[in-house]
Amino acid sequence: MIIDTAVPLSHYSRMVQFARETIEKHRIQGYILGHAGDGNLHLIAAGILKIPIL
Amino acid sequence: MIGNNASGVRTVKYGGTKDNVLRLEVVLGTGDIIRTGTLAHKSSSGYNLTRLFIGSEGTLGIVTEATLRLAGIPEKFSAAVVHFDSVDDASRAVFDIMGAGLGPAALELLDEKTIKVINVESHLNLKETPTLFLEFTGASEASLREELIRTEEICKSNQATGFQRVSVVRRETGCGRLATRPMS
Repeated sequence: MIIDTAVPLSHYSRMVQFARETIEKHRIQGYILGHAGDGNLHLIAAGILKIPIL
Repeated sequence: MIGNNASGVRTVKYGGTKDNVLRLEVVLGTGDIIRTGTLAHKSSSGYNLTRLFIGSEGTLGIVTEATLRLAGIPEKFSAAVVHFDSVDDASRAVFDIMGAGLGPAALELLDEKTIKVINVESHLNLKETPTLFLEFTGASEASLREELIRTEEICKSNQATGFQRVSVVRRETGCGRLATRPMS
């Protein structure tokens, strides 16, 4: 799953923190990267889906 | 690019696609051909139809011609790789760098796991920490040096653990490839 999002720079740190905490909380294989200067963040969550998505 | 208003690594300096399209020729669903925009960089008259079509994903018409704004090729380049203990620290440095009025040509954030993937895929030996990649472009070595000094100060005040100046940082999308070279 790839999430591609952007926020105002004043909220950037909060978004990065949220992404990191979400990865840690759900223990998923997550990668955080982004065009930071534009307030952009990609969160790439990789793994095997145990629950089928309808 | 016009269909989805694409942007990327250097958008922080040059803007996205929407900021670099001057004119469009579009074929509408009715078969009518319209032309939007002007070659002039400034226009105060009429609706901004060019902007309407950019990012419309083909839902309003088919773009058959586009006139783009060109940018000059910078004389000088400099770059830095900055290491942090946490992505949170790195993200706070981003806000301070942009807020200080430094105008990087690229400012990328990658966490330690992403760096690890790049190391494996591109046979590199980057330090596996949360990292910022910065690139500056300008007219003189002196101005670039000043920008790097100020950037280093800001990064250090946000707990950067390492600041390495390099001559080239290149990242192709999809993390497929990244090359760094120490500054000579």
